[in-house]
Amino acid sequence: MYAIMLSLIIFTAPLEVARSADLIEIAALESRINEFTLKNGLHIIHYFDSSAPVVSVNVYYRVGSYDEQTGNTGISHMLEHMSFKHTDIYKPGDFDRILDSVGANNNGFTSTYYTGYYEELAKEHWELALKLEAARMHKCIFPDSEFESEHQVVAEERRLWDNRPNSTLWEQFEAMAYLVHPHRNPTIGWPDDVKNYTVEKVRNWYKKYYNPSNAVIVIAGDVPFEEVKAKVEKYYGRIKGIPVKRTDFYDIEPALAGERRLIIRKRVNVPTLVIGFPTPGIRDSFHSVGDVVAAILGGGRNSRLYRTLVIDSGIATSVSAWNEVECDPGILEILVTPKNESLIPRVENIILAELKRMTTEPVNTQELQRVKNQTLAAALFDRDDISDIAWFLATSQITAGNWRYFLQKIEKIEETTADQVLFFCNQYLTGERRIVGILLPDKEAQ
Amino acid sequence: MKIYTRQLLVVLLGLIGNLFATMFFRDSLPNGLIILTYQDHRLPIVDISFVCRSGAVFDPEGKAGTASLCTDMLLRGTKKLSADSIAQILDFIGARYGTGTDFDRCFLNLRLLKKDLSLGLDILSEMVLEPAFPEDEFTRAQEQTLTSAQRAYDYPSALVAMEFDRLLFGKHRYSLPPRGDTATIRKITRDDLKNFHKTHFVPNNCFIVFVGAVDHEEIKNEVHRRFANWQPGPVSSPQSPETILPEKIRVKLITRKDMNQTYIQFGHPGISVFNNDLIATRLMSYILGGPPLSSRMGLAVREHGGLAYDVRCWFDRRLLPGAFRATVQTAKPKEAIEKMFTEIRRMHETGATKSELLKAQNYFTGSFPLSYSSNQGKLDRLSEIELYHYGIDWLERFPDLMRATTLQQVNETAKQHLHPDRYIMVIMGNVTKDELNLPDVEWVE
Repeated sequence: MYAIMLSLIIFTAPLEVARSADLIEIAALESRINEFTLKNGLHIIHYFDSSAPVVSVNVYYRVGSYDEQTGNTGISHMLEHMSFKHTDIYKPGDFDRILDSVGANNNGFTSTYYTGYYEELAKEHWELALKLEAARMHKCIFPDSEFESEHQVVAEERRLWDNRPNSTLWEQFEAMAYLVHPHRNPTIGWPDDVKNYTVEKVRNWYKKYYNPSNAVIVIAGDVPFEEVKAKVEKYYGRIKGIPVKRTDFYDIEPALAGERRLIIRKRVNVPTLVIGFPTPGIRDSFHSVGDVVAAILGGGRNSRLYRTLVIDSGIATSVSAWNEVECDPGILEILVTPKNESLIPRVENIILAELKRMTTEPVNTQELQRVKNQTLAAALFDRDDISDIAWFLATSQITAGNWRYFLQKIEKIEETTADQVLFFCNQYLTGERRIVGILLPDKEAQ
Repeated sequence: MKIYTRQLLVVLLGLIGNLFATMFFRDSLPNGLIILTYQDHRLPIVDISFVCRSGAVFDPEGKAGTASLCTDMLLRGTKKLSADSIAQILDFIGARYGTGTDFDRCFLNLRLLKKDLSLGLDILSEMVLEPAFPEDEFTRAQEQTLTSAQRAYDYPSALVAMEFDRLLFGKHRYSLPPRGDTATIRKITRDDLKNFHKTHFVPNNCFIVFVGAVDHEEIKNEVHRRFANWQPGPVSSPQSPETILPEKIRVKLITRKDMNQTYIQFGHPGISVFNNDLIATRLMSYILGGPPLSSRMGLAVREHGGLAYDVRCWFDRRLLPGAFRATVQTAKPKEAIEKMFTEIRRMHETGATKSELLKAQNYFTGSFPLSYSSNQGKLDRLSEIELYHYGIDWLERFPDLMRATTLQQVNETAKQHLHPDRYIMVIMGNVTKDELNLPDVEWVE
């Protein structure tokens, strides 16, 4: 019965009608979005959603590990910590005390391309978040006396990372994958750099990167556009904007000349295998095909590698794959948990054989359609939470210079053909151009 | 024809503003299956959670992990559908789905587009009513669960928590994670899963929650059509753990020379969700060890001491009495432990202040609506309300209860439910007993 049902799902016309409705629903998102730029360069994006009396305020700065040099890695993250401490009128701890007292969820985070801060709170308090973030943008002071304890907190955060089982594998896999591109540096910073931060380094970083011209604000939720315009002008209009030219490393990484391989032994019970293939960045209109390829290879039980490695051969217990591309050229990564160490060569051979098949045979209609349907459904699911929408808007604006990027990517995936998948695999998943990382149990350490 | 017992008509939730006013319904079938719906038509999506009220505490003796594996297997084949067919259909329509088990419940969640609701319900009902537990899928699921259990041992935080539970809860089911451990998972058989399903997956022990673009009347007919013939059965109660409050601190030290940080968890017996002090205890533990940047422990250990990235404490919220726990990860364990002990003693002896209580009340009342502003949040809240019998008016009552809690009540819970210096403690890292220099403790091997 269900085999028939599945074929009906795939080929019936009513589905096409419903599909169009879903696409229209996704496109309708645009009608809820407005944007404007202040004279000082601050760009504001507003998403209106009155379904709950809640507002999400998000301030993103164009600074992250992408901008850090050797010897100073992780400094954006250190600054993020220090920015919660002290401004002209707010004392250490005030940010959290004030926001906690109105029941706001708030936090900050640092990534490769941006440092973000957010507050999610009841709409009657949303202005408070805007006011606090304005202080963070231009009134932070970094007294010597407050630096060392936070420096130690960050050092402890770095140690937390060290003690996670796969952390060394991931960190060194990335460092091996990129010879020169800043993707090679961990956002939290290399241990010795973390040790050598000074308050002066933090002050300089703040001075250089935190200003309206280098920021994007996204306000999502139950607050009208006119009110947003007025309040943003009130709190940010007078802050001086100083344009920051970000160094462009898009093409800096030399082509991978051959396989790079890393084997780490550590006190773990379960081995891990990761294989990566360099893929194009977002300036290449072709890049979203990488997302489709990753989903076909390792997106759930129906994916090719799950079937071959977990179900058919039974030599692995889990498989996943994703295309790690946020802006500059990245890596399509395949992550496998082999049942044991001795099976790793077989796992690798099966993966390579499957990739070979991807370069010679077009993917079938059903698996391509599955990925498109999942992408479309996910786009609607993501609209359930204004924080998710805010994240998409802010990160698209920072990495692509255009908030519409995340919607355009959905359209691109929707238009992907089997021929494009075949071409992509031939371009990027062939030969010896791969990075292999293996984490093995260290028997002596057990 | 009246086929439902309508327990409550409609509760109009004008909780956080008129715009949020949305319909919440609770019904039941004659066989006892509860149906909850929250109608919200702003998006063409539906979230469903099917919940069985028997969680891991009902695992057979020596076979911890049975409930979890049983629930996992619901996705892996029914009498009509193979595991592959289920995945093919659900993946093809872009649905998100998964199962989960904690000590108090097993659940199966499904998120799909409204247009696929009927198909999704067909599959969900088959998974719940007619799982096949196929041999090959069972073998695979057991292996995957074993790998997950082995991987958990690679995480110091998980290992410390497991050791703490083992020491505190002894032979009770709470002593092992809901998933079980490698020894118990290996002992589970297909028959164990079938028995668990037969015993606990009965309609009068289950409920189903719908949130999103649904109409309650339509939903109850859809549910009735698929579940009305499901026969009720006896429902049993779990055994409470017999925990002992130690006379002095009992410490287990696990030496790990490869670690550059020490992981610590300590605590003592706690309370259940049915305890009358639940709300006051939540306020008190929030003040003591809630947010790491502004709680008492957070200020002492992180903000002023620079000793840790994260430090916190809480009371487990479970059907049966759980634990009070405090955790920290630090390169300076002796200093961090001293500060955490001091803060617990201070809370026990002198309690919280008026202003601390007011801030905590504001936090809980202010953040509560945020926790159910999304469909996923509503699904979680409604599941909790039903599972713990909080009552259909809980979303309204919770902020009132928070606001009505007095300083005296909070401070009495600190006296009654905190037991300074009578902890079970697990320490893991590259540290020796001499370096820790903990006074008057019993070391556990």
